[in-house]
Order: sequence, then C-alpha cells, then structure tokens
Amino acid sequence: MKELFLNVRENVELVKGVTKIKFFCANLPEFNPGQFINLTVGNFDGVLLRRPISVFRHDPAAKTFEIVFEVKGKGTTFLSRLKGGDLPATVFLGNGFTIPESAERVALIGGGLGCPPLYSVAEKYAENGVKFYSYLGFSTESRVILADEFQKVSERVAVATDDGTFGEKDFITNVFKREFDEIRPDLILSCGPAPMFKALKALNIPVPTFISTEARMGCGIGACYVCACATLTGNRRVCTDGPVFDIREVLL
Amino acid sequence: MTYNPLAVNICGVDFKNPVIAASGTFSFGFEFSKLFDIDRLGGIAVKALTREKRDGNPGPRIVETYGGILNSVGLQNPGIDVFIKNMTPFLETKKTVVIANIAGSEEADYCYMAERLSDVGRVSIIELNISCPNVKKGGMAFGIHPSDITSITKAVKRYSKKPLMVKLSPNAADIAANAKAAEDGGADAVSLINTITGMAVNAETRRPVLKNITGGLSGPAIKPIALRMVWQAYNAVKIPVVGMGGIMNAADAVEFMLCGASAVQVGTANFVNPLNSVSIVEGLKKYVEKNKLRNISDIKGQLITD
Repeated sequence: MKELFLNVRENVELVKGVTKIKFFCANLPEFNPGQFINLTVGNFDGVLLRRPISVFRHDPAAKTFEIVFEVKGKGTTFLSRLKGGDLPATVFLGNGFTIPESAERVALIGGGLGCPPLYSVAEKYAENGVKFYSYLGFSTESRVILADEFQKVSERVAVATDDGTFGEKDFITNVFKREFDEIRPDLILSCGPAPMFKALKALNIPVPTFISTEARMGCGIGACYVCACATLTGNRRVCTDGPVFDIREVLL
Repeated sequence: MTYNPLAVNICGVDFKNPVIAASGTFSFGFEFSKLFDIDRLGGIAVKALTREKRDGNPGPRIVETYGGILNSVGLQNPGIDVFIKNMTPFLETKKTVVIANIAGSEEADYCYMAERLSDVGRVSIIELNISCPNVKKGGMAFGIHPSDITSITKAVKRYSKKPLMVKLSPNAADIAANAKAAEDGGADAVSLINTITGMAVNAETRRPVLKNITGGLSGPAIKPIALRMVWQAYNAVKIPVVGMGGIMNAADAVEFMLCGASAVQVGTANFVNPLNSVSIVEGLKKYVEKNKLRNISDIKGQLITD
C-alpha cells in the first residue's frame, strides 16, 4: 500500500445516484482484484474520515483505475462533484480475492453496489481462460449498473430485480441456485448486502465461497480496530484481515 | 552531533520530538510503518492492552460527526501476552519511544500488567488508561472521582518499575482535582484528554448510529475542551502534562504546549491522513526556526493571559 495523490480524470453518473470516477496516478502499487482505496472526501470542513471504496476496473498500462459508488452523504456528494484535481488516498488496501490456479469456472454473485469489485476479478482473469458466470441483483431497473461490462468478460450474465422491472423478478441468489447444476462453478465470489450473503450461505452449496464484506472504517490500514467483522474466531478487521472472507467463517 | 531543538524529556525519558501517536489510533506501529518511518515520531502509545484478549463491541463502532468522530471499539486487542510475544520483536527494530497503554476491569488487572511490562525492555512508559468510555466494567469508572484515581495510581505504582503516565478522562467534574489526584497517587505524568462520551442518532430510523449506543468523541470538535483541561491540569500539578484532543496540525500542537503540555499525542488526525503525525513534526521544526526558539519546550506553559 502507498499514500498517494490520485488525479481525477473522469467523473460520470452511471445511473441516477451512482457515480464512476477514473483516477490516474503514475506510481500505483500492485493491485489485487477485490482491494479498495481509502479516499479523502473533503477539505477538513467538518468531514474527517476517508471513505473506503472498492476498485471497479484497473488498467496497469494506463496507470488508471476506476471506482463506482452510491452518492449517499456528504463525502460521496463531494466526490460526485469533482471535476479534476488531486485527492490524497491510501492505495490499494485489503486482501482482495484469491483465484486458485485450479479455478476454471467462477460464479460471481453481486448485489447492487457490490457488483463493481467483482468486475475487477473477471477483468483480470477472463484473459487467462477462467470462465465467469455473473449473477447481478438490483432493487429496480433504475439501479441496474455495469450489466454490459460484465457481458464482455462473462460466459453468462443473469440480472434480477426485486420488482421485476429489469431481468427476472427474483432474488439473484435464487436465479443462481436454479442454474447451478448447469454452470457447475468450482469457485463462488460474492459482494453485496448482508441479506444476500445470508441467502447465499443458506443455499449450502459445497463449493468454496468467498464474500467481500463492508464496515465503517477508521484508518483503513488495520491500526484502529474499528471495522469489525464477526467471525467464528472473533472480531476480525475488515480492512486488513478482509474485506474478503470465507463465507463459512463469517457470522451472518 | 548537532543539537536537536525538538528534543524533550518527559519523566526521565528522552523523546526526539514531542509528537506521540495516540493509543487506539496507531495499533502497535506496524501498519503505519509501511507508509512512513515511524522512528520520525517522538513516541507511540500502543493500542490499549488488557490482561486477556478482547473482542470489543459489536459494529458499527464508528460514526463521523461534525468535526469529529465517535467510536465505540471497546478495547479490542490481542491481550498482553500476545503483545509481549508477537509485537515487541517488531518494536525492537524501532527507536521511537514506546508507551504501553493498559486498561482493566479491576485494579488487579492494572497491577498485573504493570508488573509484566516492567520487564519489557522496549516499553519506556506505562500509560494507565482509566478513561475508556466504551467498556461496561472498569475503564473510565476508575477515572472519575479523585479518590479512585489516587488509589489506583498508588496501587499500580507499587508494581511498575517504569514511569507511570495516567490518562485522564474529560468526563470529570474537576479536571484539575483529577490531575492532582493522579500526582498524589505517585503518577510520573498525566496525559489528557481521552474521548468525551457522546451519541449520534439517525432521525429516519430513530436508532442510535453506534450499536453500543454511546461512544467516545474525538477530533477537532473537542479541541477547545481539551485545551482548557490541559491548561487547568498544568496549573494544578508539577508533573509533566501530555496534551491531546483534536490535534490536526503543528499549530494545534503548539497551542497545547502553550497551555502547558510537555508533549502531545495525535490520534484522529492519523485517520484523516496517515502522514499527519510526521507533518506535525515537520511543522514544529519550522515553528522553532521561525520563532528562533532554543528548544520547543521554551513555549511550554507560556500562554499570555494578561
């Protein structure tokens, strides 16, 4: 990890309330898909904490990467309005996903804003011949993001919405369950809200499953013990022990 | 060797500068050492240690408030044995002063840990944490009433071969009396302030934001209170006062020293930017040059009040 200044290169609204920013930095460290950055979101005008945001896409040759986030409060509103300039950030943090050499067929289960970090996995490993099957769930049509992007790196993309306005009207974990026998994944990676993780765990599928968790953070680098993930072995730090954990270890 | 104008001595321990990373924000130094050379700091106060491993409170354990943060971590730490076995070898490779912060549920816990740490060479000062607001038992309960403060300080002092710095709570009726109570108990220094008990509430969900309901407020929002308390404590005791509470830059650090602090601790600022503590050291260097000071401690307590 490094403390760097990130130059804002692009800032676009993907759908209402969801923003994508592209950053450039000449000396980015190694990136492992599933890692995140901890980003300054103000000029000390009452906003102190950085915001931990996962990486959606990474282009080592161009020395750029992108983040996708929901505009929810003061900090993310500040980010969504940036036109340029440099922002201090700690880059790249957390363990990220591990793709074993033996993995050939990987299922990605994303819920809402949990989809972007899963894309970073497929983007990197699809080139190496790993087949990805992407299952993306959203609340409603106006919140659907990145489905086209996943199409480019996946054998199959299934989209479901809670209200049926786009794709199937179902929870995405149910869609995945129905197609499981057909796609026969040897690895499942997931990122999304806690209820989705619970549903995924309840499927009881005998395939290694790793989930990327989220928690409010203090330092983002493992020093403050604020971001606790309750596990079988006690509270662990989301920022450094995670954010990716074996679903069997996490108390959901 | 050239004279170092930032060098300070606190209860017999030499610090290369008066900037110390505050307990609970810096873990045991390992993580921050990946971002900068932590030997550039005067010292580090390690994460509060307890006798046994502690898991802390359930999350969410942090929330941002205007100009501050509320935390309710609840002393999560690996326990004193793991600290001595696994963390001190890393600290052996560093030269910065190590302050071991200890917290307990009972007086005996504090005494036990002080005795254990007395034999740990790398620990130069023991910081008695009687001011953590986030635990049900012990913690701040020892640090509210002057008589309790004197009594626990006296007890721990008997077991400690290291200088003892008592970390005071701002959740107190009379901070001057509490600082004096620590001094009466034999404290070699006092540090203040710990966080101020607070709450954050969500109007929509009608729930507290922190799972623990209450938490400890830190950051620039509490600086005026911290400055007032450091000033009052400084005027009440002869032992050194280490000041903290919302220090974000070198000017803030100078303000605390003017109010009587011999050194300062930097906490929340480490989250705002992990390099802030070293920026403060650099800022103090410039302040000394600009004001042609022989040593930074020349400004200690030099608040002009006429």
